[in-house]
Amino acid sequence: MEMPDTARLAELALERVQLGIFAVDRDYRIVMWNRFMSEHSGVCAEAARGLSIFECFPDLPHAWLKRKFDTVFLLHSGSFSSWQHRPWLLPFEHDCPITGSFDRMQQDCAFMPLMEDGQVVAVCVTIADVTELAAAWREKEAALEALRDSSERDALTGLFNRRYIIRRLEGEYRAWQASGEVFSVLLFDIDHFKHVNDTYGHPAGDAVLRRIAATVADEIGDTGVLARYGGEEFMVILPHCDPAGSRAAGERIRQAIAGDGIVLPDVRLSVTVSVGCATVREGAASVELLVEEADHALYAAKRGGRNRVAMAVAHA
Amino acid sequence: MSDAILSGDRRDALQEIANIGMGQAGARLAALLGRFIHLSVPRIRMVDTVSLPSAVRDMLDFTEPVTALRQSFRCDIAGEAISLFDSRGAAHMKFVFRADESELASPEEADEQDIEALSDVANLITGACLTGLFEQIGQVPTFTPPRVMGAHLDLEDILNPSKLPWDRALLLEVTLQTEDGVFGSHLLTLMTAKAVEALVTALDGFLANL
Repeated sequence: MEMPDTARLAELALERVQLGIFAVDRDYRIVMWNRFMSEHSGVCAEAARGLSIFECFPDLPHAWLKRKFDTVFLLHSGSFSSWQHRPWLLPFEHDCPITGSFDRMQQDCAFMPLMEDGQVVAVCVTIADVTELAAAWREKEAALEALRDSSERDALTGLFNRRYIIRRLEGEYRAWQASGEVFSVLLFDIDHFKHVNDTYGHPAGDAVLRRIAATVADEIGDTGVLARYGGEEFMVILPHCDPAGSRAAGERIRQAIAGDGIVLPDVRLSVTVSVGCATVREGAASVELLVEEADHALYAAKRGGRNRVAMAVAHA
Repeated sequence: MSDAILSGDRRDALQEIANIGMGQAGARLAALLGRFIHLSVPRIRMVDTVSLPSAVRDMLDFTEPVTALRQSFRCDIAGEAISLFDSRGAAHMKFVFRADESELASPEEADEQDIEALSDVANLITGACLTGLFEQIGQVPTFTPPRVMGAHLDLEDILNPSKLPWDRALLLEVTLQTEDGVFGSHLLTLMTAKAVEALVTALDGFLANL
């Protein structure tokens, strides 16, 4: 059989490619509409040709699309649309049914000049199905989010970790330097935690940590930032909080934990915490010194008998 | 110095081509936007990419940090076009280039962070200028979509030679004038040595036909 000529082969190729290809003239009337376009739009080439694209698809964004076409007619250069900014130009079903994340085909579009004798006779548009790429991109973003999370969170309790809270503390400190708005730091530590682990085992110890994390998170809510600071030690940052406020918060935390019984399969436990409070003030030259003050207060609470709140020396 | 490659007649030819090209580009942009747009006679300099940040700083009137977008172009000459915007320029350009009249009432309303709008601006300016220029030597370049190279960074971070696998930069400083003032619009093109050779060949062809 004789090989068809180049023009015919090009026509055949146009009908086979896995790419939407269509073209419009200066009145935005459809002059070319390939098979991909008919199959996905439900409008066949015979019906589409001669109609204005805006007539054929009234839901298209008029001003935006007209601008895309005019860019090509007037500048003789290209125009683009990315799935990330506009998920699709035309609502098509995608051909990857396994990808559950998108209900419609995600599309990258390109608009280009078809030129004859230095004139742009038509604007050709390609619509590429990038649904799989979009799905992979979303997965990557989710993985990055999880990675970010795992570097900021303590795995056991789900609270923020030490690395994160120190960064937050530095941020609060800088904000205080700029605005003068005081904030407080609470450090609280489980009383006799080693005893809990030795007597009831580490699973019980873990359960205690999780329970305390949940109880205190509930208690402080949006008013502060809670983190696991050490093995059995926790830190709370309380923005816009003065010494009196920090003492009150510390007391609420102490009471919530002391009044709470922890029920495990074999045993019912109760634990208490000691709390140390410090508030930033003129003399607090650095974040480290502020944390040290809270730490000294915590130590004082322990020495004073445990299950109590102690204030940093400057506020006592 | 790399300016030696483009000297004398060739340099004059390139300047003339760029002048005509920018004039063409300005007229086309004005027609597209339905607004007064004028592109200045471009300043042209050829530099090695190592000297790029300082050359850009010399030539252009920016307040860093800047946002940069890149697009590849290809005809007989292939390279990359980089558009640079500082925050004031970005907001103003988005206002000038807006597609829908109802969108924004003033440049102040243009959201500086709106990357889609900025990509559109970069594409229009790059497309108009480079197409205008290359058409003078009988070429119609094709372009890839704009991609953000970096947002709100210093010139050294964005134009770091390690990030630009190109040898030469043809700096085209184009100033865009609109009805409410003059706003610098900055176009750089980067080319390999091979592309520069192709440009030189094209310029020689242009000169021969004069």
